[in-house]
Amino acid sequence: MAFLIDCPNCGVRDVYEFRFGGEMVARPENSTDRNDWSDYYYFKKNVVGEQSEWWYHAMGCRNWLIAKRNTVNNAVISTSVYGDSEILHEK
Amino acid sequence: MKNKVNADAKCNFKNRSNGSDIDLSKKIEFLFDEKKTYAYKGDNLASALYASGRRVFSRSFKYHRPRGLLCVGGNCPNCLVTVNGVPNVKACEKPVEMEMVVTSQNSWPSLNTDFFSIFDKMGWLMPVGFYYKFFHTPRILWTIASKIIRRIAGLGSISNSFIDKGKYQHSNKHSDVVVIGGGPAGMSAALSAAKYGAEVTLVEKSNYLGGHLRWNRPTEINKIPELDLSITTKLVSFLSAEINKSKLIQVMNNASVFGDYENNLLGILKEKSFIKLRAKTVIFATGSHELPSTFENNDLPGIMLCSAIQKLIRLYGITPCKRAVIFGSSDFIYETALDLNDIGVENITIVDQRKSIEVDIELLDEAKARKIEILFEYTVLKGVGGSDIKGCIVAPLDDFNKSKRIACDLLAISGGFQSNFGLLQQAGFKFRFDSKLDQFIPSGEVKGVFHAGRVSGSESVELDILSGRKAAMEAVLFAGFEVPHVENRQKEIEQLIENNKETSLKEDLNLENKLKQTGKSFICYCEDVLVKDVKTAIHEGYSDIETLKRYTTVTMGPCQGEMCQNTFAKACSIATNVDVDTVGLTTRRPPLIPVPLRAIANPINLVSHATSMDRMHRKSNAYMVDIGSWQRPLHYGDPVKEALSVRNKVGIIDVSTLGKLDIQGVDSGMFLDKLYTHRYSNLKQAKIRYGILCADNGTIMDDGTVTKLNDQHYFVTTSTAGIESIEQWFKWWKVSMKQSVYITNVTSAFSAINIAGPDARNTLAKLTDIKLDTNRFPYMTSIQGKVAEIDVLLLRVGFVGEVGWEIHFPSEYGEYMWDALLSAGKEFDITPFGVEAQRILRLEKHHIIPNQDTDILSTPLNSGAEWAVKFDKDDFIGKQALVFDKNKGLDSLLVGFIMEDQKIPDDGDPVIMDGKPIGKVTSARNSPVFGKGFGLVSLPISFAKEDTPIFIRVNGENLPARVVTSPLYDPQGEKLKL
Ligand code: FES
Ligand SMILES: [Zn+2]
Repeated sequence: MAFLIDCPNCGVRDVYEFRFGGEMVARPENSTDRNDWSDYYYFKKNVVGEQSEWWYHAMGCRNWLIAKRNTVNNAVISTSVYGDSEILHEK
Repeated sequence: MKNKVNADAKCNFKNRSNGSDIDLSKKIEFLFDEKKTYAYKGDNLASALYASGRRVFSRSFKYHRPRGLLCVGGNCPNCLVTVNGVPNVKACEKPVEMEMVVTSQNSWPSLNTDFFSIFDKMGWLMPVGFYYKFFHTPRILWTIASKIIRRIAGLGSISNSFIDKGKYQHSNKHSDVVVIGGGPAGMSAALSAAKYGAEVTLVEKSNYLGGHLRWNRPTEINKIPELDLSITTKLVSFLSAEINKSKLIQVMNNASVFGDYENNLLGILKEKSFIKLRAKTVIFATGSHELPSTFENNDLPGIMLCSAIQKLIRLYGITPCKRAVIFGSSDFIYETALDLNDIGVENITIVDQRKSIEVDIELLDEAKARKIEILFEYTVLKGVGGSDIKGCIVAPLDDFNKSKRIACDLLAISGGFQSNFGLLQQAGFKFRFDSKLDQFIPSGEVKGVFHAGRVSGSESVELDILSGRKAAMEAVLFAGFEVPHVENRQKEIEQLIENNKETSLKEDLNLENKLKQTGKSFICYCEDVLVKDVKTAIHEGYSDIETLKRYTTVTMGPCQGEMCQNTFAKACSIATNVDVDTVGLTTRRPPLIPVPLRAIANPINLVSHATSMDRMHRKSNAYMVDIGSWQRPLHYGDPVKEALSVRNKVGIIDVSTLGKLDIQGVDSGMFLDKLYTHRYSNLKQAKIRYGILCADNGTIMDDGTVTKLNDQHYFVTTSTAGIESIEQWFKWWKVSMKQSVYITNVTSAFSAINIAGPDARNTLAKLTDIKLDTNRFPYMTSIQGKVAEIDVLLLRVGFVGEVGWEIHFPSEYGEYMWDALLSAGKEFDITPFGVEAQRILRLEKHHIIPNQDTDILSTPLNSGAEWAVKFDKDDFIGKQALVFDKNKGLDSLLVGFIMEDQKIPDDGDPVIMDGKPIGKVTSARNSPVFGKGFGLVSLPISFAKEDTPIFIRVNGENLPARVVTSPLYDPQGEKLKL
């Protein structure tokens, strides 16, 4: 792993400054079905290709961001702050 | 032609003339195998040892055959030695230093008479795939055999007491354009890139710029724009001067690029520093290296590559021989012959596999004029000699029976060239076999990565320079620089390249002729693999280059395929009847060169934190331990005494390491309700509540207290180890729930001291006006005020089960506050206590420590903390999982125990019932108050009842204990509310 992540706060930084926070998955807020919860907690999609994931800029601004990354070649396609309607850092 | 070499030099091993790299006025002394040896400043170990007459440098991996210098370029395994205790150092890449201690490897008793060379006669014992074929049964055989084999086979060994001294510096560097390789192509690429305005880093593995121009025979050059030179000798100094003049070019020499990683990150080792160089774009001008030819005994000491000979002559001023045979099928062998003749070697025979008409006419005339004997369409069948070459058997290509022997003390060989493909492969380039160039060259394109010079297949200096310029233009365009009149320039350079393409058509020699398969004809010097071994392996079914590699171990030795990859592919092609291009290359992965782990491991990352009171602890002779990244006092001499003091009088402990979060914002209450299992929004101002943080599967992540300072402001403490991940956790929920909450980690901004014990109130009262009586300052409340004139936040919590306060205050007052409390408590016999006493005291109260008393399956329910879970809340993290758990009923429960007799279990001891383990002790200590072993234990629910007898296995003995469900000390919790 040696790719770069464009932190919306700090700019382009080495991946080693960040902590991986996993795939973006929706929490089954109102479900009372046990399977929904175990799917949410334990099962990862492990996409081959592009996926949106959480990254925490631990050695920088100490904020969370979302990166769209290709899991095949580690190309980071874009980064954004969660909640922005559009992707801020299109490459 | 002008040479730097003195043409009158005597043909004598001891005599050195002026080489470009050495300084004849400075002698250096070093030890080789305990013998004093001399070198000149600038010599490397190989040149110094060769000049001193040494021909055998090492013993081969398997057969223990003597091996001498082959490439003098760091591309073969032949010159590996141990230097100052570091094994497997390439002598030809190691500059000699004063008093260096050098020893030879893999031989016994000595390099010249190696006992194990008997293996050379027993090759039949070790066929290809040796490891896969023998010692399967009986199994014991392998244990014995492996010991012997490991002793015999292999490289240098490292002594147990060896310590690699000195630290490696780590640094990060950035550059617009990185050019790797300081030869003509790399130099001109760097210069043009800088002309376009780019910042350039030029990385060169040796100490000098110039590449092959430094040792190759000077030649004339065609006219190239912006380069007013007609001969190569001036080129290096001209380009170097230009580079020195440029402010934009940084030269990084003695630097080896060992890996090309994602996003153009280059791993570089430069002496004792480890550099991560990040480039916008990279130009590889890594050059090519010469290959050996294959014939019987092609590994004898005294058989050397032509380029190696040129290096010995021009760089180190060595006259390598008296009588030379030069073998190959290119004009390069004529140049080498003339070079040798220049320095006085008169007796030279050229064995050229080609016809005379294929030879450059000027070179041929010159060679003839100098009375050099030339055998056209001849080949070398075999090298003759033992630990030094004595001669060789040559024969006409069309009739091997007409062979004859030529005496020589040097056999110079040239089996063609191969581009240095390793880094380009890592960068993502594919390679194709170019039969005209007789080597693999890069094909296709990789975004942002370019190549130039010999590595791209250039064969002339003109092309080196022009392709360097072209690559530079492409690179700067990629990096976003403006190139004026870009189209014109591109056209111009394409045209120049076209004009300078050499059309020296090479006769494509029959592959079979190149790869003579008789006898010990080595394809891989590192692992002692013969041409015929490859054939055998293919015969045994390993026909794909990748499986063949693993089975034969060709390309897997120290040279990492430099010497063998090309020939290996050809051998495979012949045996499988597939063309070389289809056979392809195996991949060279990083690191390309051995990199000490010490260089990569970064001790700087191991931070150690000290609290603001650290000096005071050390002054009081505290026994410090590492807890997470913190250093904390375990005790100040006697933890039991410390614990009793807290129970009977008063004690203080530095709890600055507690994680502290400052939570503010309108959503704070709601936010904490969501994160903790407890409820906080209904908490009254200034109140404190214990809380557990769960993950969404209901397991415990951490615990701590939450203090409500006001409606929009809370103060949260976490465990010492948990703060980093809890901060992330809080922030993640804040972001993903879009809450208006501000989270600030104030762990090191605030220090904290816990004061506890019957006299805690009396002590504290001396330092503050705050009313401390229970009515005005009840249990689980907070007050902000002054203690010893300092602004503090006082939390009245039951940390160790006594009346006590946690005093939080700005860290800069740490020492002062510690001192103030100690002086105030003097009359009450105040005692500082450490982590061990704290552990005992808290355990007596059944306070759990997350990750000590809990594990990956622990929930608040099975840890006995159901009271802290508010199921009637709307939602909180982990709620659903806990609901499922509750409905299902508990399997196990964490409860207390007390031993029946005097023995004390250890943390982790199992509970045994009917001979089976049914649970485990999570914490155990001796209680100073009760004088018995006690602790917490996780038990099946049926055993987790008051007074249930259990047996704990302590040191192999099953000892009786009984379950205690409420805290051992002050079960009703009255004391802490006094
Ligand atoms: S002679 Fe040193 S590596 Fe080949
Ligand atoms: Zn950042």
